[in-house]
Amino acid sequence: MTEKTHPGRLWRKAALVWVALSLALAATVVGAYLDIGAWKLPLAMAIAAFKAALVAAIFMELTGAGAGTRIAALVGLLWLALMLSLTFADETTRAQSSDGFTQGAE
Amino acid sequence: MSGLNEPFQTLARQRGAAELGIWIFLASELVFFGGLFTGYSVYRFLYPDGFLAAGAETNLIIGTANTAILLTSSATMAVAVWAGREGLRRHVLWGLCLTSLLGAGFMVLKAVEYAEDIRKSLVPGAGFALPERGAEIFFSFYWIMTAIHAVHLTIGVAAVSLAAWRLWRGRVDWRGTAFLHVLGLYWHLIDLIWIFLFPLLYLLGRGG
Repeated sequence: MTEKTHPGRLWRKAALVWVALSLALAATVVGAYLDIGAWKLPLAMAIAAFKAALVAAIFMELTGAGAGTRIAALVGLLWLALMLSLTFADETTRAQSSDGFTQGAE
Repeated sequence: MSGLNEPFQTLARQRGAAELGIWIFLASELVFFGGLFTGYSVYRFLYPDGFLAAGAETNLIIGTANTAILLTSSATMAVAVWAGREGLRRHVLWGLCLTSLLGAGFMVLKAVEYAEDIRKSLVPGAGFALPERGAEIFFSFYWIMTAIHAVHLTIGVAAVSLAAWRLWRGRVDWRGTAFLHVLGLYWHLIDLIWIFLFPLLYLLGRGG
């Protein structure tokens, strides 16, 4: 270990990230009351992704992590993306085509 | 050198293995919660109006306060990990104790909220309060997701408290090992899950 870090610096660094997270939290609550219709969900998800990225990058130290760790985290996200996209590839198309099939049967 | 276990020859190798191990676990947790998030998304897609009506019934004040509490606890946990690397024992203990107290605070508020939800008949089943189609499904997800999150948080509070106790008594090798980092990563995952639960469960049907 090189020179000792002053403890105050550790608390300040965490406090800085905390301020950013708190501002994002305030923004997402305000956003829920805005009259933006269908954009509410994308806005809320974008802010949540921003908060998650801050926590993952700085608190969980993913940016400075080794290749194996980053691959493990990315694989988790990949499976999640596959699960969501394949589920909705089924769910959204099923709803649209069901009328056509039932008409022929009647 | 204490804290070094078989079969590792150096502490750095041991730290690397512990970090990779906990990340593989966290990735599996992500997929586990992901199944619930996917189910939620499908039913929200099928019953958008029911979900909006039901979401407006959740307690936004407690939800927001609890989000702030968890975000703060992640910051104090991060300080504990960073201080641990510098060998600052007192600051590690402060970080762990604050984290565990904030986690307990979250659970107290959640219990108050659960009691209110039960009073408002927001438990799916006979006598459910809302008539909209899909509202009951929303609350099924609300209860399951927040309850599983609370189970993880309970384990987290117990683990952080135990770590603080053992560290105070000098019964754990925290200098140079991945002990605090691994504990911190688990705690931050609980926070990450909540960061997405909050807008999906509390921010629906507000305003115009």
